[in-house]
This record gives sequence, C-alpha cells and structure tokens, in this order.
Amino acid sequence: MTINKQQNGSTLTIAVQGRLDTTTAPDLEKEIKSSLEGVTELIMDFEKLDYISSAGLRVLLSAQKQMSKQGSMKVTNVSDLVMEVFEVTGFTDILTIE
Amino acid sequence: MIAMILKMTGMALLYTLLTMLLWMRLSGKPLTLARRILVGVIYGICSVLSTHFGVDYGHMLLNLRDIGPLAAGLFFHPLSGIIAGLIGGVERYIAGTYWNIGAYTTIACSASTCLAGIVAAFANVFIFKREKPSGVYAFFMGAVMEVFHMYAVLITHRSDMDMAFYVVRVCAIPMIGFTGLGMAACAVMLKVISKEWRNPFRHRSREELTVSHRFQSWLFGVALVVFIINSGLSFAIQTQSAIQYSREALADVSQDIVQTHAGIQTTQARMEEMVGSLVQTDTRAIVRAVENAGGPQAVDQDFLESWRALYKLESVSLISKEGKLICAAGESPLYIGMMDRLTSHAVDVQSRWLSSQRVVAAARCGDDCLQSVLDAGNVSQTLNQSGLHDILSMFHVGSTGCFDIVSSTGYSIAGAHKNMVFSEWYIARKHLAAGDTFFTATMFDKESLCRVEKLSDGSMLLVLLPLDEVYEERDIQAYESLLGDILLFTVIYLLITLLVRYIVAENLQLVNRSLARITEGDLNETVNVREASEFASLSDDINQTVNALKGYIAAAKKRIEEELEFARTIQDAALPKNFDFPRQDFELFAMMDPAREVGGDFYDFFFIDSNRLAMVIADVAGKGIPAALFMMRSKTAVRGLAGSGITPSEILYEANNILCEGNDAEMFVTVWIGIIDLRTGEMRCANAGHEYPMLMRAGGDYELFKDKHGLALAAMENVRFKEYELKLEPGDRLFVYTDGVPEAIDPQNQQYGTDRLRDKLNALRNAPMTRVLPDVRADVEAFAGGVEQFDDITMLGFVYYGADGRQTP
Repeated sequence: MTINKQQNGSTLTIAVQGRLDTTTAPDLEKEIKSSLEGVTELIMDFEKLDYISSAGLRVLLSAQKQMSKQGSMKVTNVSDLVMEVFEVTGFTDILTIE
Repeated sequence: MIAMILKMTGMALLYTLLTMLLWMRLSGKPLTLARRILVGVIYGICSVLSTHFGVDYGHMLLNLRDIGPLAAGLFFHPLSGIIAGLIGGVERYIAGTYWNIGAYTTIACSASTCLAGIVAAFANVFIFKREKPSGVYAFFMGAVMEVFHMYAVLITHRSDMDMAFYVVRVCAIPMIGFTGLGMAACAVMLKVISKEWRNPFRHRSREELTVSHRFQSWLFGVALVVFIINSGLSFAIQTQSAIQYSREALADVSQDIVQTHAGIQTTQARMEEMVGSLVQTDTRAIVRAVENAGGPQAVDQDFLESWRALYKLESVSLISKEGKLICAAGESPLYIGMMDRLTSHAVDVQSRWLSSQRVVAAARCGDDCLQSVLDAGNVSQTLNQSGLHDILSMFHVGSTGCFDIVSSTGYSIAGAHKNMVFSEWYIARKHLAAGDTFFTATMFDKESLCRVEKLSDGSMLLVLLPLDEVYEERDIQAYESLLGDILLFTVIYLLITLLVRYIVAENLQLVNRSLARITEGDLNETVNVREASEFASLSDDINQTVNALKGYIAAAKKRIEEELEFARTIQDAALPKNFDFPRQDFELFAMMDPAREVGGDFYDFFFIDSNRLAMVIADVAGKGIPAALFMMRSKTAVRGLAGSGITPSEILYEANNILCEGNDAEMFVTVWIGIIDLRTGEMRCANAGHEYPMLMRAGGDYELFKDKHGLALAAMENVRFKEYELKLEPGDRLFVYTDGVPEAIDPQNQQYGTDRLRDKLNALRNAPMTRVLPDVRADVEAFAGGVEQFDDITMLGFVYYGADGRQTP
C-alpha cells in the first residue's frame, strides 16, 4: 500500500493505492491521525485502491468520527469492488461518497 | 606588489573557472579512462602555461603551476592528478635545463610539481575517500605543497644558500598563499555548484562532529602551539647566537685592525725619524759649509740656493737669534720657535714634522740658526706606495660590513670612508663615552651592529656589520626550519588522522553496521571487532546484551504464546460446539478458523424457546486480541438481548447502543442474525453490515440473497436496522459466512469471491453440512495456494427439513 498526502490549506487529500487490509490499515491510521490537526476538509482518494477490509473500514470510521468534529470528510473515486464493501457493511450510510 | 597580487589572483581565478567548467561538463557522466586522461592533460597544459606566464616579482617569476596536478588529482581522479603532475613537472625540467627558464630552481620546481600529482592522488584515495575536500583542506593541500616546493629549493642549494634564500624569501609567501587560496576557491565553488556547501564557521554541536574531526581539531591546535613555541624558541636562540657570533667576529677584526694599525704607525714613525735624521744631516752639512765659507754673514742667497738644490730641499734659510731672516733660498715660511728649542734643549740640531708632508730641521750656526725644510711629499708617497696604508683596506668585516679609524675630529684616517668626515662618528663617540663597546644604530643608512674602541693615539676604531648580514644565517635557518617543520607536522598530522580513522572510526562503523543489522531485527548478528581491547570488550558487551535481550524476548514470546493459547481455548469454548440436536427438523453446522491465535469472528446459535432457533454470524473489524475481546462483548450482548424475546432488528438496535457505549477503540462489528420458527420455517432476519447470505431453495441452486442492509454495529448510535422475513421450505439451505471466505486471495491477489463460493456450494448441494463446511474450507485453502490469509474464516450452514422432520430417503 502507498499513501500520498497533499495538503492545500486546510484541505488534506489522502490518496491510497493498493490493498487496505489488516496489515496495512495501521499505517494509514497512523498517517491520518498525525496529519488531521487543523484540517477542515479531508478527501480520501480511493481511485487506486484495490481492496478494503474491515480493518480499513475501521480506519475510515475513525477518521469520519474525528472529521465530523472539526469539518467534513468525503471519499472519492471509489471503485465498484470497494463500493460493494461499503454497501454490504452499510458504510454508505455514514460516509459521504462521491 | 599590487600588480603581483592582481596577476596572481587572476591566475587563481582562471584555475577556479576551469575547474568549475570541467566539473559542470563532467558531472553526472561516468569518469571513463579517456576522460581521466583528458582531465590530466588539460590540467598538465595549465601547469605548463603557468611556467611560461609567471608573474615577475622581485626578479623572480611567481607561478601557480602546482594547482594543476593538485586540482586534477583532488577534484577529479587520482590518475588525472598523476598525469597532470608528470606533464607539468617534466616540461618544467626541460624548460629549465634546455631553455634556461628559471634554471636555478629546475630540480626543486619539477620535483614538487610531479610530487603534487602523486600527493593529490594519495589524498583523494586515502584521506578524502573520493569525496570533494572542503575549502579549508584544499587550502592546506595547496599551501603545504608550496611549502615543500620552497623547502626543496633550499635543500637543493646547500652550497649556495644566499641565492636560494633570496629566492625563497621573495617567492614563499605569494606562492604558498595564492596556491592555497586558488585550491580553496576551486573547492568552495565545486561545493557550491554541487550544493554541498556548508558554512564552515557555523557552530556545530559535538553530535555532528566525527571522532576523527574532533581529533583533527585538537591535534591541529596542539601542533600549532608546539610549532609556534618551537619556532619562537629556536628563533630566539638563533638570534642570540647570531649576535654573539657577530660580536666575536667584530672583536676579532677590531683586534687585527688595531694591531696592524699600530704596526703601521710604528713603521711610519720610524720612517719619519729616518727622514728627520736625513734632513738633520743635510742641515748640519750646510752649516759646516756656511762656517767654512766664513759664517752666516759671509754667505749670500746664491750660496744657500746651491746647497738647497744639491739636497733637493724646499728651502734653506738663515735666521738670526733674534728671529730675523738673514738670508734664504727657496720659498718657505719661517718657522719660529725652533731657535728657542735649540737653545733651551742645548742641542745642535733637531727636526720636526710640520705636517704629513714637510719636515723642518734647524741647526745652530754660530749664534744664528739654519733652517732647512724638506718637502717630504715624495717620502709619504713612498710610504703610501709601499702599501703600508693599503694593508688596512684589506681588512673585511663580513661581506657587507666596514670599519673606520676616526680621528678625534671626526676625520677618517683609514678604512671604508678614509679621508672623509661623517656624522655617524658622533653616534659612535657617544656610545664610546658611555662605555658601550657594542651597540646597534643606523650607520650609513643601514641598521648595523657596531663596535667601538679607543686607540692609544686618541683616535677611535669603529667596526660595523649591517644587521641584514648579522641575521642572514639565522633567517635562512628560520625559513628552513619553518618550512621543514610545516612539512613534518603535516606528515605527522596526516598519519595520526589516518590512524585514528582506521583504528577508531572504521571500527566504530563496523560496530554500527552490526548494530544496524541487529536493530533491523537480526538478533543472530554478532559484533566482532577485535582490533583493540576496547573494541573487543565493546563487541563482547554488545553480544552479551543482544543475547540477554534474545533471552528476554524468547521468554516474553513464550509467555504471550501461552496466554494466547489460553485465550484461544477460552474463545473456542465460547462458541457452541454441540451440533447434535435431538430433533429432525433441521441440520446445523458451523466452524470458526482464526487467522491468528484468536479471532474477531464468531457464530452463535441457541434456542429462544422450544421452537425458535436464533443463528448469529459476526465479524469484528480487525484481528487479534482487541478483536477477540470485542467479539466476546458483542456475542454476550446479542445473545443476552435475543433471550429477552425481541425481534432481530430490536436486538441489533439495542446491541448497537450497548457496543457504542465507550467504544473508544472505534471497533465495529458486522452481524447477521436470523430467528427461525422451526414449526413454520418463517424466519426473521436483520443484517448489520454483514456479507449477503447464500440461500438455496429446495431443488434449486444456491444464490446470493441480497438482503436489506444496515450499518455495522458500534459505528454509530441509535441506528435503526431493517428487518426482513424469509420463509424457508423443507429442503431449503442457508449458508452464512464472514468475509474471510470470499476475500481469501491467491498468489496473484485474486479473490476467492462469492461466485466461486456459490459454485462450490452448488457442487455440494446434497451433502450434509458437516461435510459442506470443511470442503469449502479446503477449497478456499487450495485456492489460496499457500498464501497466508489475514482474515478469520467463519461459516454457518443450516438446512431446514420442515416441521415433519428429515425425509428419510
């Protein structure tokens, strides 16, 4: 998994590439937690995300909870496979997916 | 001087420019053999040009020839340095030997240029290790090379030190300085171009400095102090001995001059006495002739004239006792007083030197007196011609010193300023009066060491030696030892630096490398640096520490493994295992296979009352102990709520709120729950974000049942869950699972997927669930092909046979 961060003012875009599973989720979690200060808009770019497991979902949930306190978060460019996971797990109800 | 500085600066800048251009052209390209040779030749040509376009200064040609090989060897490649050194050095030898350009220093110059290339190559490989040297180091390289150059000039001209010393005195400072500065400029510009330049004066903390760096700083400081003290002391000693030596030399010369002078004076006195006697004899002869002629009154001027001519006298005069001239031949002043002396001393004749030229003799002639004057000029001439006075002029005081015998009136009787009056005499007399034999004063426009001595005749001997000459030997010695010491200290400094690097720094790096491997997790790495007892004991200590750590880690691992094993047992025990039901209306089998020791999945089934069976399958996000703990909480909550008889959606609603409470770890769990009334086959289900169930209608195929979904539990409070009804007919089969099944991956990262799962289930459509589940599990494993699975695999299979029970075929 590769993580690309791009900060533009208070907007932080995190592009994730590869598989977001049990082994890689802690890295993303650490990365997000360390860079959320002062961010009011978090964009998760999942264009190149191949797979997301429940551990990955947990990271998203955690980020979503944090961002609801300080701004907003949206998930963009979600592939069909990942979208299916969001739908199955009901995450479509709590995430802003574009 | 200013012209020289400007020209030398210009040449140094040309070198800098050339180095920058070459560097920019070659950077990023491999330095092939051809390029190395090319760089060597270019710098060699620069070296040659330096020889032929030297800067004229104090009759010497200054040049920056040695920068060529140094720059080529230090900044580019050792081979380039050696080539440039050979070209510059050999050409210098030819130019000196055959074209007579700077022939005097041919050997020293050509040798030092060749050596410059070799030194640069050596420094590049062993000292700077192919890194670009900093400006300070480059300065030292250039300066020390020129120090060697100057030293070589001195040692190749042992028999001709004056000239060699002159060359060194003129050339040393500009050549050492500008070669050093030129090298420093090249180094700094290269660092700037390659963006490696750091301000050398920036304060650096101890952490940033290497051991050898700190050692070098200290060594440099100590060497500098020792060097200054040593040079100062030897300079002072040499000054003392130069003065002592010169004083002795002056005293010796003085003594000789005094003796010779005395000898000359004695000789002169004798000669004068002889001349006096001669005139006396002549005078007496004339007196006798006068008496024979009848006394003073009887002779006339002609008579006297004949005698005067005979004896070649200047004049002959007869003087009465009253002092009146009676008669005279030749023109001559009258010397009164001689008569009185004759009378008072009661002698017949006496003579006296009137000046250095005239001798007068007077003799009693009856009652009167006869005076004859001899012009002894020719006698003096004879004296002079005899070389008596010239003997003194043969004395030399050193090579530039001089002496004078000065009369009490400040008139030089003999010596360098003979027959002259000079004002320095006054200074000398003052010191003589004060009792200083030796003194230093500006004499004849030169600061000189002087010695004065009063001679017996009242005159004064002044001997002096210009300080330039007094200190010449000392200055040569000082330059030679200064240059030699710089070279010696440089060699010692380099040796110690290299030793420190090889003994301390390199071994430390070896230790560090091993430590890095240990840090990366290779606890079997051993440190084995045994170059010195300190390193051996350091290695042993580190190895012991690592061994001890290995022991602790193994103990901790064992403890964790044991605890995990316990945890696994407990978790395992929490899942119902009894699939033997004392009734025929359904069949149920389930299994949970954690990816690690403990898992986050669980299944559950239990009777709410005698006819209603609840089935649960769930998946906690994440793995391991946190997931296992959350799984236990979730299982307890769901089972507890289900027992109270509420509907599945209500169960999930309540369970969600319970699990949300204090969910600081932000865990969540997907749950599918179904409660079936075994009498009717009616089933009420709810799905909180869990995988779609697989449903097989009797006689048909398994299909993914896309049920109504809600959000996973513990994600958000007060979420309402949709509930749906499913009517199972006898023979219908239901298969629920966690994502570990469809998301298992093969070596190509392909997922097992629900399609494969469905096909496999269809293949096993009539098999009992006790066979279906292990077969699916085996199929997944075969699909994974040895790839380690990261997710727990949990399945629950249910077959409904209807209220009438299993149809026995």
